[in-house]
Amino acid sequence: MVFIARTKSPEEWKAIASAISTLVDEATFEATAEGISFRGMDPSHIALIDIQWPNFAFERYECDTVVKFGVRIDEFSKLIKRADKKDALEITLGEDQRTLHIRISNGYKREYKMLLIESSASSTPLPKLSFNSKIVLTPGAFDKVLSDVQVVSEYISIDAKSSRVEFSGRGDSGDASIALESGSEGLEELAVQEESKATYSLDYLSKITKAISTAGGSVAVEFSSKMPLRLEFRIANVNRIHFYLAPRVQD
Amino acid sequence: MGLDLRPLITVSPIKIADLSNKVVAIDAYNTIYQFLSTIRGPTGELLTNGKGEVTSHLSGMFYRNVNLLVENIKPVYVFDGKADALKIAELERRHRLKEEASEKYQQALEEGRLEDAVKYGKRTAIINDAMVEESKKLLSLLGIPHIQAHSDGEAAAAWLTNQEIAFASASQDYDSILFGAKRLVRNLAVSGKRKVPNRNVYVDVEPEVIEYERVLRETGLNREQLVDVGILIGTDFNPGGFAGIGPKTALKLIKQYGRLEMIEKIKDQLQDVPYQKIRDIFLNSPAPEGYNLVFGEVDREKIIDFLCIEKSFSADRVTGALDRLKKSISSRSQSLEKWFA
Repeated sequence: MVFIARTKSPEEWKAIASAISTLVDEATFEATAEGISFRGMDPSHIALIDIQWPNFAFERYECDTVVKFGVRIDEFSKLIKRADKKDALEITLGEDQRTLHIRISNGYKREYKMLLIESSASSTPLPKLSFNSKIVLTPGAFDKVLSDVQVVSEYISIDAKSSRVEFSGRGDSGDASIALESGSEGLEELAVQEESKATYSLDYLSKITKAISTAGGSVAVEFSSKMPLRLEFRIANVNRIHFYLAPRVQD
Repeated sequence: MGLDLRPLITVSPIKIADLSNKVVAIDAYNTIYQFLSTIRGPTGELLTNGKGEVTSHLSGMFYRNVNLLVENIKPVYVFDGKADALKIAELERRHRLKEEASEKYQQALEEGRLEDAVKYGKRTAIINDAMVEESKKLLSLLGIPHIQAHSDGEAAAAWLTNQEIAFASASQDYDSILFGAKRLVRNLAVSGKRKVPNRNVYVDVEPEVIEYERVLRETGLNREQLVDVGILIGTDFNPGGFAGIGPKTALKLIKQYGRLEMIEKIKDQLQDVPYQKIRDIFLNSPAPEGYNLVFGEVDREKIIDFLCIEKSFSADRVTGALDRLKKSISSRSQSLEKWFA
C-alpha cells in the first residue's frame, strides 16, 4: 500500500484542514489513484463538506489502492500550519499504516509522524438539490457581509432578485441589512432564475468562510427559497470544495 | 442498587452536542426516582405546592426536559410495565428500606438532626400512580413521546437502540448493558453538579457513554457470557449476586469456565438462583407493543395552566424556561437529512 502526496502549495492543505475542523473533530480522508477526497457532516447533520482534490494538483502523487486515513483534525491542522507558503509539503502513509508522515522542507527539513485514528467512516450521501439563485463573490466580500450582519444577528437572510441581492439579520439589539447590486465591488456574478429567499445560521457560514478565505479564489453562494445553501469555494488546484448548510427551522 | 459493571468497562465522555438531533430512550422510573430523591427542600422534605401535592417530579421533569430540548436532544421516555416475579423480591426489599428510612427521617426531624434528615429523606422516595400520570401528561405537553414497556423499561430502551430508533439508552443503571443496549448514556443532565452522598461536597458530573460492542470486545465475552457475569455480580433479579464474587472475579470465572453451570465452586449456590430465567429476561425481552414515537409541539398555554395554575409553580420561572426553549427552537437549523433522497 503506497500513498504519497507532495505539493508546493501548503496553503491548500491548510485551508482544507481548517475548513473540515469547523465541522468535526475526527476526519477520514479517502485517497485513490485519482486523488484525495473527504466528505463529512457535523454531529447535528446541519452542515456537510464535500472535497475532491485531483492527483494532478500535486507535484508528486502516488496511490496504488484505496487508502482511508483518519486523523484528529486539529492535530493534523496544527502540523500542516508549521509549513510556510514557500515550503514543499509531503504526506505519506507509514509502512505500518498506522502513522502519517508529514515532511516539510525548503532547505530546513522537518518530519512529523502522526498516529492515525481508527476511521469510523460511514458513507455520507449528498443532498439532492437544485439551485435557483447564484451569487459569486470574492471571499473577502462575502466574509465582510457575514461579519457586518453578525454584529447584530445570529442568522442571515439572503434575498436574491435579478439585479440585486439583500443580506439581512435581526437580533435583540436591532436589524442589519446590506444590499449588493450587479457591479458592486466584490460581487462577481449574480444569476437569479427565480427570486429566492432563505435564512441560515451565521455561525456555520462565518467559520467556514474565514477558514477558507485565506486561500484566495472566489466563492459561489447557491440556494433556493427555504432550501439548503451550497458554498462552492473555487481555489486553484482543488477540484471541489462544497459546503452544504440546511436552512433555519423558522424563516 | 443496580449492577456494578463499572470496573469491567470503558466509559468515555460524551459531549451534549454529540447527542444533538438524536433520539435518546430514557428510563422513566429511574429518572423520576432521581428527581424524588434529589429535588427536596432544606429539611429533606419533598417539594409540595399550597395544596400539599408533591411537585418534585414535575419540577425535575419540566426543567430537565426543557434543557434537553434546548440542546436539540430528542428524548423518548420508557415506562416500566409489569415487574417480573423475580424482581418483586427486590422491589419489596427496597420498599422495606424506604419504610425504615422514613422512620429514621421522622426521628431525625423531631430531634432536630438536619443533616441526617436530609440524608434519610432522600431514601424515602416512592413513586405513586399519580406521579406517573402527571409525568406522562407533562411529557405530552412538551411534545415528548413516551412508550410503555412490556416489563422492564431498560429492556425496551435497549430494544429501541437495536432497532436504530434511538441512538442511545439513558439510565444511571448498568443493567441496560445486559439488556444489550447499543449505547448507554449516563449522567444525561445538562447542568453538571451532583452532591457526593453523606458529604457536603459537590462534584462535576459529565455525560458519559458506554458502547456495547466495545464492552464485548474488551472483555472478550459474548452476549450470553456477559449476562452470566452480571448474574454472578448480582442483578435486580438476584440482588447481591454470589457470596465473595465481585466484578473482577466474576469476569475471571466466566472467562475461565465459559458459563455459570461449569463453575465448580458455585454449584451449591447456583441451585437457589433461577439463572436460566434471569438469562431469559436479559436476552429475550419482548418488544414493546403499540408505541407511537411522534415528537409534537410544545403546548405553552397548557403547560402554564398545568404547572402554574394547577400546581402553583412560579409563573416567572416556567415562562422563563419556555421562552428559552422557544428562542432555541426558532434559531435552530433543520437537518440536511431531509434532503437526502
